[in-house]
Amino acid sequence: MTTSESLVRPHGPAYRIQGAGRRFGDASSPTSFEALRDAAFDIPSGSLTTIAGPSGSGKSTLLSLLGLIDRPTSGEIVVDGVPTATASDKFRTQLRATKMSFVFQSFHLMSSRSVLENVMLGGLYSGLSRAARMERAADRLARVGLESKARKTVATLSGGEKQRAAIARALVADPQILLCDEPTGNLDSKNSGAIVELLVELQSGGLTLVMVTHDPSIARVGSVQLRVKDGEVRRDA
Amino acid sequence: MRERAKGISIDKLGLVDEAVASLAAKRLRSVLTAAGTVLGVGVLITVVGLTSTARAQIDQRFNALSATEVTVSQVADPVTVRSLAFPPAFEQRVQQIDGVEQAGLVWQLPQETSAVSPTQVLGVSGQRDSGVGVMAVSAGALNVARARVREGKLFDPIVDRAEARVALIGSLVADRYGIHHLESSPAITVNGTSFTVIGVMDSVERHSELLNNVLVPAFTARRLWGDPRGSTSPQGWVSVERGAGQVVADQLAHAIDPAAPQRFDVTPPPDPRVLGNAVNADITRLFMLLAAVCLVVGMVGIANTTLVTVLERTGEIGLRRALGARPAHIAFQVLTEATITGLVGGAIGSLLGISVILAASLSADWTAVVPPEAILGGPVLGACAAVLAGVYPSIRAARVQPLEALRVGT
Ligand SMILES: Nc1ncnc2c1ncn2[C@@H]1O[C@H](COP(=O)(O)OP(=O)(O)OP(=O)(O)O)[C@@H](O)[C@H]1O
Ligand SMILES: [Mg+2]
Repeated sequence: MTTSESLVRPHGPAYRIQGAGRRFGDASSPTSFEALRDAAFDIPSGSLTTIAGPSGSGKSTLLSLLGLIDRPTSGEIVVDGVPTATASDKFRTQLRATKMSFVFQSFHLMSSRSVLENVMLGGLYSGLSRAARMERAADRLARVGLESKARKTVATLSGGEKQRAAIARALVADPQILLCDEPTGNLDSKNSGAIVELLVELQSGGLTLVMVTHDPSIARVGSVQLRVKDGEVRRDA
Repeated sequence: MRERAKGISIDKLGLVDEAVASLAAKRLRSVLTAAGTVLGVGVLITVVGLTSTARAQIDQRFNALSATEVTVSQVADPVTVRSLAFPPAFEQRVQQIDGVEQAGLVWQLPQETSAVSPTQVLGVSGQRDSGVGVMAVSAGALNVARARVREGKLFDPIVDRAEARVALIGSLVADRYGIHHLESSPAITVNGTSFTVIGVMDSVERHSELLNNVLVPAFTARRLWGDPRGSTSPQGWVSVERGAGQVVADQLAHAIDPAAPQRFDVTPPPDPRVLGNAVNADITRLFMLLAAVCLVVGMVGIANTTLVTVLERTGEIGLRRALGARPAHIAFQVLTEATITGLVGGAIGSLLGISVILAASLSADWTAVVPPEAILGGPVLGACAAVLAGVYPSIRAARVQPLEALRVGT
């Protein structure tokens, strides 16, 4: 199967992980550490995948490989039929800009700037014009229920509202894949529930959603449930 | 591999927007960062502006007066103590030289021969007055000095040659003697000879000493009291066209007396540029050095603050990279932030500098001269300094990995 064939195939998996591993430090050094070992699984397009596991097990390491913000030290990560492990930084950056987006535990919003400006940033590096970013940002803010806060500075928002703004930002460039690392990690249980509900709702529109969580009850919402333990990935359901 | 070499073309103005917004978010810090550049450019513009203002001022003065006057004096001759080397045809001969406008002869009469007293003036009649001197002047000399009369008229060559017993006085002398009108033909006695006052001068553009003296025609003085003697060496005053000073000076002695040019000592006008530059060069250099130091301090300030903001924003930069920003996009934004700081600092510095020049000129009653390249150059210089200062921080920023977005921060 050649790459170009896989590109035109309409309903392949969003991800095909082939023996991927991530080792920190030189393998010959005694201090080197293998955070992820020989992971192999598929993530179907349009699925909701959760990654659970104890602290330090390698969940974030896995997510950063999926998000192309880190490279595996072994194996291959095929995104939508395209192998990426040894692709150029420029190409990987371009894939990030066009195909995928992120929601992080720490919201990474620019606190002294307006909610709208923050959300618009989500489309800047994807090549959207200012007008398109403005229009889409307003639309995504409405989708996450923050339309009334568009002109407010981020600093005035509550934790839950901040994560909603971050989600709106992640949606501006119309990604196919949304990767969330502990999106509720900084929120209380009430806000957590609401954010998970929002993500699930958005995902039902066809998004491939991958969410890292250490909360078993959240992990259970996944149609694919992965469990990481000591760098080993296992499929639960 | 289906990697496309061409990247996404992104909205560059959007990146500039991001730079502006980042600066605006930390307004006070941005202003303080620009302060060094403001100071550096401000001092530079002030120095350049004040220097050219002062130089223009010096030029103006020298051009108007000294630069267009050549004076010639008689070399002291130990043998003939009492003689006039200047020939009677002095004025005509000198006027043959190209570039000469006017020429005239002047000498001061010694105190003992020139006891002045106003006659026919009530109150002070007959009293000797040692506070007022007497000068012999030819008609041409008055033209060189650009004397103007309040009343009456100046000597003309006819009066001069006719050896008439007439006198000119300055307005100060007129006030001193209470001579207010000329209708009554007031007279002044000089060493026993009565002279009719035919004019009261109110101003001269050169040789203001003329206003403190009683002036008598040169030919008359010579007839009455003989050639000027010893200490009261006669002088030839020659006014020349702009720029002709040196050329005229070179020919003057020969033109006056081809047979004995060595008897004359010619003083050409000073070169204003040489003079002005000599006065200013050291101080200018000092201030330029100061400005350069300020600019370097400004650069270090920008480099430092920009680096701090980069380190502070590691998470934000990581997020931008995760969202698809290329290292070049990050570097461009950081460099733009530094450049805007320098540009604005330079512009404010220029404005400050120009204000200082205007204020200084105004208080000194000078015409302010601000070189146009200084107005444009200030912001450009500030921006250039800032670009240099921003290089290292932007490289550091471009190296931030997208993985940084995963770190727990703000
Ligand atoms: N850059 C790194 N250098 C060395 N070790 C690292 C690095 N990043 C992560 N690790 C190690 O890899 C292991 C997995 O880390 P990871 O962040 O993936 O854990 P996690 O499952 O996300 O934990 P948590 O629930 O606390 O976020 C940890 O032991 C961590 O110390
Ligand atoms: Mg983690």
